[in-house]
Amino acid sequence: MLTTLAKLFIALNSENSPKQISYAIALGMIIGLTPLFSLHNLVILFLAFVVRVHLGAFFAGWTVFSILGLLFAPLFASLGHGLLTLPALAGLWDTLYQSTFMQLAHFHHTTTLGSLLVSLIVFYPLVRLLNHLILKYRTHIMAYVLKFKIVQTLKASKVYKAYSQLQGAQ
Amino acid sequence: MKKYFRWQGLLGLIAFLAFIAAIIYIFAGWIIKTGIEQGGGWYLGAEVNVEAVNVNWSPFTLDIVEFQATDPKAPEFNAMQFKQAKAEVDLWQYLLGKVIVDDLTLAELEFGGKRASVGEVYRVPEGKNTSQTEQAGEAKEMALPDVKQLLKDADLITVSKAEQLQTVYQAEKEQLAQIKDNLPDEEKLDFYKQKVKEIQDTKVKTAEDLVKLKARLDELKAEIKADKKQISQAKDSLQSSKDNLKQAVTELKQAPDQDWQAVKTKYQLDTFEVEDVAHIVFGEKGREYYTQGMEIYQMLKPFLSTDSESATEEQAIVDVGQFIHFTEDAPQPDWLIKQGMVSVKTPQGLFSLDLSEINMQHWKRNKASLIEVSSNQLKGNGQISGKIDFFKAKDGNFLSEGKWLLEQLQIGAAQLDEETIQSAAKSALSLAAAKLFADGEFKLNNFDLDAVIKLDLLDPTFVTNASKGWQKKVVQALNDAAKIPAEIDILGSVMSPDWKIHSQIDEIIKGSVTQQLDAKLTEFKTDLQSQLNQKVASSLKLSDQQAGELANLDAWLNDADGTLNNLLDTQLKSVVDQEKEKAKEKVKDKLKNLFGG
Repeated sequence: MLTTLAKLFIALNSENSPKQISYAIALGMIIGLTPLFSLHNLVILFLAFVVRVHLGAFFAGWTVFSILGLLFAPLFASLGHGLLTLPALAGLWDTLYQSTFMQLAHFHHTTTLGSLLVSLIVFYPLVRLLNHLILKYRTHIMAYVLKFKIVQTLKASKVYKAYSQLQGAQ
Repeated sequence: MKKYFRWQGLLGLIAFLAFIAAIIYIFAGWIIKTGIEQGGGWYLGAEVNVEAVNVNWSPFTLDIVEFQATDPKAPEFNAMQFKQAKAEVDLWQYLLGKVIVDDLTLAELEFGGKRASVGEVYRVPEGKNTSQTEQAGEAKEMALPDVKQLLKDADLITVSKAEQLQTVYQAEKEQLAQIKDNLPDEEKLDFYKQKVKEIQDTKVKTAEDLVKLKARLDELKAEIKADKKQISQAKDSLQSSKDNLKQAVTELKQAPDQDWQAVKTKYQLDTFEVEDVAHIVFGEKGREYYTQGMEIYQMLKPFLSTDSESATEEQAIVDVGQFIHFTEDAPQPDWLIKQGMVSVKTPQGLFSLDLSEINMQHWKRNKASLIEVSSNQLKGNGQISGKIDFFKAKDGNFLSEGKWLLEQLQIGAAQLDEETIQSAAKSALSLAAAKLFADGEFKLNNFDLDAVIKLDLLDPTFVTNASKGWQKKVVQALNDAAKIPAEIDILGSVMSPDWKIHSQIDEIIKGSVTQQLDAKLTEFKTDLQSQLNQKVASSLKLSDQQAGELANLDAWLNDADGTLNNLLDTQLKSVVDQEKEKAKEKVKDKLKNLFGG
């Protein structure tokens, strides 16, 4: 948890643009909310590693949203079940099901479909919200927070330095 | 492009995926073990233990060692346990969301085995689990009632009818006494006779004398007629009393038989048993196995009901998500065990189950599931062979058939010592040992079960903790039988079927113990009826006395009535006629003298 906080703190106080951080957290949200061993998460991982987003923020987002994912799993399962058994969509699912790729993607799994749909819908609004919050933080709060003794201790720690170097290298 | 992409990140991705793959490869066994323990514990509500899970990647095989699932109702026992389960799973189908087990080996599957240590219970199941053994073991106690106590019973018809006779007698007696007081007595009759004689002797000389005589005569007649009327009324009352008493006596005479019928019904003297004994002998174990089977079914039910409708009802499945399948070119069930071998450890010995096409969506492959049961390692060199197949159609229609044959299964210990007998005698009737031969078949159409089991118990040894003599006789009679055949029919809903047990135990008991019991019943009946008859007799004796009195009164009334009739119709009537004749003669004589003489 300390590592997650450190990652987030470093991200917020780094030179990275707010978009890099907010997109990273939003990608972490998708992988966190949906079942881990799903084909779409390979795509998310690919994007997180190849697109210039803040990796620390991605892993922090992944961790936080994994906990939320566990809490909301029954809700996602119900939503997915409702959609997969909706008579109006039966034709669509049947067509998609004929594709082995779609089967491998587990879109016919209730929790996978429900959670992926929710995280995709929430993705862009979350990016916008996080952008706004990060800008507000950097303008009004960051200077104040940096003066805290605990923060200075944290910045002097090996963990902070290690992550800073890692981020710098990337 | 560089502004948006970092291609060196690909290396990071590969390293990350390799790291995840390595973790899975190394810790797969531990992850699955933890998953089974946590998931199983969450589902069952009690501790689940797995010693180890070994994973073989090619072909993908799971090897689960020493599985134990605590029974939440009795945490010192396991609901289910097995020594080893090896499943070869089709990995590709698994990735597509289906569990297809090509080959399954399950060793020493056991239900209700004792745990080394008491398992932790997370959720106490609702409702107390009443042991079927306890229910079946509650043998009906039959005790003959005490005759003296019985006679005190106010409900006895004989007692009430005897009392009724006395009441009727008293009432009639009082009524007749009143009537008797108003009747003419002997003196009155003599008085009438005297008066009649006086009238007869009266000399009539003039017409005036005749008129006077006529007046006296009419007065006497009126008086006699009044008494005659009293006598007539008394006769009617007497007849009514006679009828009332006759009715009371008849009812009293019939009462003892009615009482016997009532006593027989109340104390179930006609219905003792045999059926109860048969249920104890054959029903107890049968119900126990059946209940155990249903408990296992309930435990596995959510996994067996894989169609979407029933799955919707299973909230537990919905909570963790499920695959929903659509039209396929080569349909496969959601889960399937293509073939398997399961060894089941029971107190009767080791059974072997050969599985084929086990699933609950048979319409997809159009093949029925088949389970072949066999064993030649049952207690006492017993053997079993059987075959069960089942098929579930797409519309939910479920059909199943099965046949089995069991030979020479040793029930209880082959050699019984005193200690074993004592420990086995926990109820009024327990089967301590026997050799069992049985065969059976069943048909299941959806939830309608039709099963027939024919069995023979050879050289049975029954034990009892009963102290009553007749119960010991029952046990002795059963033990004396070399063979006890029976047939068990199980019909109706599979959730609560109707058990019918037909057994020659009926004949055995009727042939020996019931005779003894009948003798006791006859003795009881004789004793009871003799006591009742005494009551009747004493009441009837009273009735006889009264009958004598009534007869005397009846005779007296008839005599008195006859006497009065005689006086009225013959003697008094003749007096007037005679006097009239005399007067006529006198008038004739006078006229002769006057005109011709």
